[in-house]
Amino acid sequence: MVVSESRAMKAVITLLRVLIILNLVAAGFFLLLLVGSYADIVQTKIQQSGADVSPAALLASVRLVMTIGLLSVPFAHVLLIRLKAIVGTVQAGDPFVADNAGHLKTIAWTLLALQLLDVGFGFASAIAEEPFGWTFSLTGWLAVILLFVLARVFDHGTRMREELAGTV
Amino acid sequence: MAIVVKLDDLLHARRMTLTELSERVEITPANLSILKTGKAKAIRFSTLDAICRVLDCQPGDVLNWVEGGEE
Repeated sequence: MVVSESRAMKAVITLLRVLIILNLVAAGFFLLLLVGSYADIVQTKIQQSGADVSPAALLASVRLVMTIGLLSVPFAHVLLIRLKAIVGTVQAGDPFVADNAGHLKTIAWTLLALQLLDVGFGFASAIAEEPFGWTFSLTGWLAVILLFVLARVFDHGTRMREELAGTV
Repeated sequence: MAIVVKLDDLLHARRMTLTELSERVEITPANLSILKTGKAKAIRFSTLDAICRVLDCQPGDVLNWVEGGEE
């Protein structure tokens, strides 16, 4: 492998490691805010804030958003771990292994779960009287389809390579 | 596989080593060894052609089919 490419892979792995940690930090943050939303002091503050939004609706939507955030953490964790595994095989110079087809398929499923959670986020945005800028995006859904297709392509390619390896 | 590779017998009959054959057919000894031990999943016509040319034999001399071989 070219030196610059190997360096890029190393950088990607480092980035993924950072993202894995940040994801776990985010989990703690979501949990803290979710638990905090039940604290008396927060409820009083919201009622005193004098916002146009009804405090009950605001609290409900915030809790829903935090719950969605918390639920998305395990999926994002699996996604990042699997992606790191794939990048690891690229770095090792042998990415066309059966494991990677499985990794891609798992990533596709986690992305699908994240997309569904995103719809939930849109729902939370809709019930909040002051929507927090959620818009429907087709890109994520296309990425899910693309990943499922790629996983199949990879699976097929890996089997072809195995057959070729046994060809003399 | 019910296909048996008789490369060993052919080499023995022609007093040739696997290394010698690999040099003459331009296939790595590792790959020829895979073929010889019956671990190969497929054989290219070009490989068969080279082996037949060097060992002066027919494909049927290299490969045999036997009944009830393991799948």
